[in-house]
Amino acid sequence: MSTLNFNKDSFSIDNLSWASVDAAKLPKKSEENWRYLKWGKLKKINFHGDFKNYLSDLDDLDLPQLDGYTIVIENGVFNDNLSHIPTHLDGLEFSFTKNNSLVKEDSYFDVLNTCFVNKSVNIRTVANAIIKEPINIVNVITSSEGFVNTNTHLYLSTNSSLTLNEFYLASDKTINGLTNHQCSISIEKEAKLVLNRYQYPNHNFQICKDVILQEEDSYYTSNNFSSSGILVRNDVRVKVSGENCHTELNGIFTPSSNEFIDNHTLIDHAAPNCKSFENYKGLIKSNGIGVFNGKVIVEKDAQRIEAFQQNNNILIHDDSTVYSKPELEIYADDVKCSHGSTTGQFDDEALFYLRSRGLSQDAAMEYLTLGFVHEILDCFKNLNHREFILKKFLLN
Amino acid sequence: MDTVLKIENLHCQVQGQQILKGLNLEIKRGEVHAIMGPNGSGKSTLSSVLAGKEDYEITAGQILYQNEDIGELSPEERSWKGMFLAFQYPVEIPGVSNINFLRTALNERNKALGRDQISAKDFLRLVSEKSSLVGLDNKLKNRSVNEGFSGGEKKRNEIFQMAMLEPTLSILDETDSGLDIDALKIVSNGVNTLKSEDNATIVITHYQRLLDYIVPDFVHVLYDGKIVKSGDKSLALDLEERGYDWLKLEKAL
Repeated sequence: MSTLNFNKDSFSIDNLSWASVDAAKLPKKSEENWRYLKWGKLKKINFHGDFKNYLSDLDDLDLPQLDGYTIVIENGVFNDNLSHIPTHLDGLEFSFTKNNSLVKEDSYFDVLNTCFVNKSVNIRTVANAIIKEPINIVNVITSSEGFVNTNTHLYLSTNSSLTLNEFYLASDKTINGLTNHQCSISIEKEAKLVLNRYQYPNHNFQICKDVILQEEDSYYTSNNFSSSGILVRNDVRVKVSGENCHTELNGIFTPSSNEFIDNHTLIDHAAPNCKSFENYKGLIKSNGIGVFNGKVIVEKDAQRIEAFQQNNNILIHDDSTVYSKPELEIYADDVKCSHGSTTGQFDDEALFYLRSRGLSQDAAMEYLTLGFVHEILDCFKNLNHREFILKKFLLN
Repeated sequence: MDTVLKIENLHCQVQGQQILKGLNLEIKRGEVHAIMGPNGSGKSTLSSVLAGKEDYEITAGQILYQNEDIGELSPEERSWKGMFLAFQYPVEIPGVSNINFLRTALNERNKALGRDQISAKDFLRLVSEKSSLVGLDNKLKNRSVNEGFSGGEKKRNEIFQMAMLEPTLSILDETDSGLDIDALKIVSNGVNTLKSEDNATIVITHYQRLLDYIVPDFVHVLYDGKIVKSGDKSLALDLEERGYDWLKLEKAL
């Protein structure tokens, strides 16, 4: 049984209960949901919580052009100077409140999040509000060995719609902190949310958990791009509690040398007549490790569900590793569900074909990469962002 | 007339298996050579080793292209020097438009040869000129490379790409396979139009039918990794009539 190490004096959080922190233990290898993770690198660090805002300019960060409204959270602390949110916005309410985690604590990191988060970011749409401008949340860590906890609550009121773009990054490559993020999302009747998440925290560790509740006739799409991270764990849990919902989870993950990206998703269909689509693609570079574990549950009374799940992986080198585990648990009898998983390498014949037309080995590999991920890439509707991840992370 | 390709005593093995066993061939500018032979005789191996496919190991002999031994060159280097292989089974590349792919191909070559990049205007003019040669539908130009193309469309696309790249030596590997008679005429017509005094063509085929449309100057019979017989176009007709079985007999004797 083990825990992370903290430099306790460095944390200045109201009512922080060290007793709760100390009582919680890191998940063990024997726990199915955490079996692939190794904590060795994390346990070597003595994390601190002495945070300030250091950034003075967003241009210093690797970011695409950001349209709409931007909230900058630096080391878990709201950076007022760099954020761009009008004081009054039709249909939208922002607030920062004392932590009120809505996520049921069922792991070590949930407990830590509850203990360490100072303030939660709350975003609420007003009923019937169609928010045209996207909201960007830039979560940046600028402090080495820092332990950052953040918490976002999203409420989409009836018949409203919103696009949220989240960026997780480090200000430079030497930083080795840990960010522990939670997001609770409530999507009311007929509301629509698109969440685009871009993770490229370099040498940081990141734990990320989304808990989503969908009411009837609602629409939820998450597009997840995970490019790097020494250890990245993404948990997505969607509960579809109303009829006629649309749920879509798309992902690209590209761990490279000594990086580990672990995706665990759960879609729980608790109501009939819904559709869900899940499609994750892993491009595993030399010495990288990827995990896809996707579970779809169709509950007993959730008839006429259509649920499709797919995970395809390309191992770029002989020493690339992926663990893929698609799971379906169906208790209803009138459903249409499928799942599939493939793992392979780039097709030699395709590579030869492209090269025989004069494309260099590198250019040919880029084309095959593009061919592999384009289906998911197309889900990122913002062309600037798409171009950014393409140029910065996929074709290099 | 100068020699474009000279293959001398070529021995080639694939995954430890000897496929080509002393093949000789000389091709000059302006010529069309047909290589025929039964299944398993080494026809596709020949096209792959000429285009530089990995895993095709030359164990003896050499391939001279414009007097240069190209045995160690990569597929792209051979392409830059003006070689082109039209695939028997063109590969589908999803997510990459045909047009972008060709522009990249041209520009990669221009870069390698130290030439300027092609301008958008010149490129589009070239596309419209060359695609009309094989009647390639506009839609297909913008679709992903070969994705969802019919067999005939894929082969037309191969000839379109060949026209765009203007090779000195074209190798058509079983271009007739999977083509109906109308598509065969269109594809052949494209090849014939591209033929000139400066370039040369190798047509690899199992059947004589294609040679009614692309008329060869020479016909070679490949059998068990060697060219066992050469002649003019009448040899193809002869083969059509007699099949390939007599080769086995002749070898046995």
